[in-house]
Amino acid sequence: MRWLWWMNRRLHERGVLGLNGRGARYMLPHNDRRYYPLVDDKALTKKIFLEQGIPVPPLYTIFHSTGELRELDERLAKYPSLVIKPARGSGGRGVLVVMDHHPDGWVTASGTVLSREDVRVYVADILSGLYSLSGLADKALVEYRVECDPVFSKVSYRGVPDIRIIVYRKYPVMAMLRLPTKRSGGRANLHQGALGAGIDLDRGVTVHAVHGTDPIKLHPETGESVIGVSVPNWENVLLIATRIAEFIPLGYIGVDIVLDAQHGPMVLELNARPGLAIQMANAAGLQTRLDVIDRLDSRATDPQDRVQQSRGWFGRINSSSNGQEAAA
Amino acid sequence: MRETRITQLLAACLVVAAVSLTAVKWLVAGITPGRTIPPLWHVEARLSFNSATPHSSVRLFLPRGGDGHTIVDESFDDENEDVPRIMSPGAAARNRSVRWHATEADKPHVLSYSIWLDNIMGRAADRAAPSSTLEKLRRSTKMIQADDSSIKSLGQELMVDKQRSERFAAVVDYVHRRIENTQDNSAVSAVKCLKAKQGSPRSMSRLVCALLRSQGVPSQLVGGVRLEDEVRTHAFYWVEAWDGQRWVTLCPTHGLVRSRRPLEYLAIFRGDYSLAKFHDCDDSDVLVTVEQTEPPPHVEAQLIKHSPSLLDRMSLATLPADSQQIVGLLLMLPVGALMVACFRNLVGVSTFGIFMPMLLALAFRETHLLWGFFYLTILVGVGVVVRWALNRLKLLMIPRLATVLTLIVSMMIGLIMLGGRIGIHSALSVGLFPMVIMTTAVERFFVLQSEDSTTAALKESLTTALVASCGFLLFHWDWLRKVLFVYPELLLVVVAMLLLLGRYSGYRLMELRRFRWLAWGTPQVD
Repeated sequence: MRWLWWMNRRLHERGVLGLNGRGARYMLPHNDRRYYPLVDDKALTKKIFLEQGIPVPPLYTIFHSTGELRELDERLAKYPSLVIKPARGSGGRGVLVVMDHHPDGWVTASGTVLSREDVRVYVADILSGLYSLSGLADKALVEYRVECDPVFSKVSYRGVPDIRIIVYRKYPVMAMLRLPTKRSGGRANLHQGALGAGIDLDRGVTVHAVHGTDPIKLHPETGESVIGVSVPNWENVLLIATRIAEFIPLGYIGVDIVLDAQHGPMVLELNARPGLAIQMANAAGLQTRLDVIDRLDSRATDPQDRVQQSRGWFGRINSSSNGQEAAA
Repeated sequence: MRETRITQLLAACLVVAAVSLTAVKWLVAGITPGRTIPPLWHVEARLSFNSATPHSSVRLFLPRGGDGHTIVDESFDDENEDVPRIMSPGAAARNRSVRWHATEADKPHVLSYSIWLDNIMGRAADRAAPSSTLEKLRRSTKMIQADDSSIKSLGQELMVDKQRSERFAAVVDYVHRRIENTQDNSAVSAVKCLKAKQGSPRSMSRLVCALLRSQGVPSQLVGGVRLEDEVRTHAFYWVEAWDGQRWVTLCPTHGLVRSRRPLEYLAIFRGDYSLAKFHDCDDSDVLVTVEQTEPPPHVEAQLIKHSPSLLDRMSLATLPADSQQIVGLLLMLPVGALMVACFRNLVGVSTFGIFMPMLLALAFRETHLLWGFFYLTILVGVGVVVRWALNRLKLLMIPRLATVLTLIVSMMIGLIMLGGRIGIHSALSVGLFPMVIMTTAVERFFVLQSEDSTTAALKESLTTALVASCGFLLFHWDWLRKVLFVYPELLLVVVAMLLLLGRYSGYRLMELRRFRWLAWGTPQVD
């Protein structure tokens, strides 16, 4: 009992944010329910991003109804590799990565061969809402398959790593690199077994990592160190995430960005309910950083300025104070 | 934060409202869960007879409510008999009665009539008798021979030169002392009774009546029962005499004169009649049972419905018995929801569906916990196996879910059949399992297992079972159910707690474990 009490107090002091706090203090006041469709429907998000000039993986086609499944083969024929995903999926559920054509159908990311019939049923499942947040009918998006940037190929198992950035009231506050493992099946979600590596917001270099809830240094499959990995184009990545907040009226979001070998950073999706494991990946509490933003007297209007401010407050150089100095 | 303040204020108001309402009911009106209804008097008349002709009939006198006693509940048990019932015309008639008409000859019948009397006495209806009636009640009749010489001389002797009240006492005293009670159903005339020095209560009452009438006092016989545990085959009789202002009760059998009718005398009819009269019947028999006993729930509900206290009349106890059961359970549901909310927001466990554990707990109420888990494991287990097999067929989602649903329904029917065969009664209640929800549980288990891991799916099943067990214990907490039934306003307290929980922004118990090493600063990694 005393342990619980002590734990509760320590976590408070360290500025760790819990699920109830996230809901009551950040999501409910800052994320208006009526804007959720902007991020929950990936087709809509993509459309807005294209209008605003935010780089996204190109969209090939959308399946709206099971009737369109007859055209599946011809509509997919011209793309050598692609990704099929539900428009309203969450947590990486229902994402199918097709690497190449095969005489019997297609080859998936895990190397198994799926027949044309398998893929048709898969898309039909998506349409009937199996993977959708609310269980309602859904759309199936077919888009460009992102190719892993060679920088990350040594620290990820199959799949493509992505960068999760928490943007609070238009300021980036915390970031992590999510690395797929064998256990996560090539997906970049921490609760499915992917690695999370906290990124120094100033330098764009990973400084700490966890697998599940355990701190680690080496990738379990590749054996490479996941600490000290440098994200190329870091300033640009932060800027893209910050610019999104200009036109998405949600105060507390998670931005998922992938680095494509050819096209550079692309925004995969937004999340209005970003998870809290990012705190463990960074070995730092979110609460303290969010408090810094809440205490600001004046806010910079230029996204570029906000990125620079955040880099100053939340970089590792100041990690001992975790941004408290800046606020003082 | 402003929202938190408002919520806390609102919660405080709700608690104050609930507690003060409860306190008023408890301390002022004395309404408590432990309160029991005291035993009530129950009078039942059973008539059995054989209809000799198709025109046979039976007449039974019925007590009139408001005549000293309050009738809480009155019922006839004649539905299965082929005898239409006709009630006598209303309040104007001297006595209230019912008549049954047989429709067939040579048929045995058993009819019964029963009443429950309130312990709280109503005001006796002292109806001023019109002078014509009083005139009639002074006359001499065949059985009450007020003009017989022996009666006249005795009446003169007993009553002359006395005050009115003393005259009544003298007559009753004389008959009580001098006439021996034969304690039977005989009904001889007043003169015969006086000569034989013995007679039944009815004969003695006739004698009293004759003596009073001989001196010009209007008087009548009253038939009814005495409220004491007994079984009788006929009515008990006493006399009412008009003293100029009110009817005075005179009982020669117990030597009693009262200007107010004693509580134990239940009047059913007035006049020199029998309680029941059979026309063209054989083997007729009357059995009157009088007993003081605990009333059945529907009578209790009637009693509370007519209680003088408004709070009583507004209480849930006035509902019919089967509705009371449902309402009792309904009141527990918000408490169950509060429990689920605590498990999710304070402890931080996840379950299949938010309120599924509660529905399971409701189903477990019928099957009991262990059997409930046994059936649940079988149903979900087979469901998951079949779901896995169906996966190879690549079916669309809704037809596939419907297939699993059909399978679960068939398995339930199978379990019910098997349970009935072997004699396991709890299997019969399997049908109460929330089937549609179980189908989604099977689906969720399968998806979780294939996308995350079997461990994750099993863990979530286990927490669902755990929360359902807690719900089961909660729904079996009879004390709480009784308290909520008597004080349903306590639901406001539940709402207050839910509101406060809704603004709780601290850590969940599981998060303390999840984030444990964050509490120590940057950990050392090997």
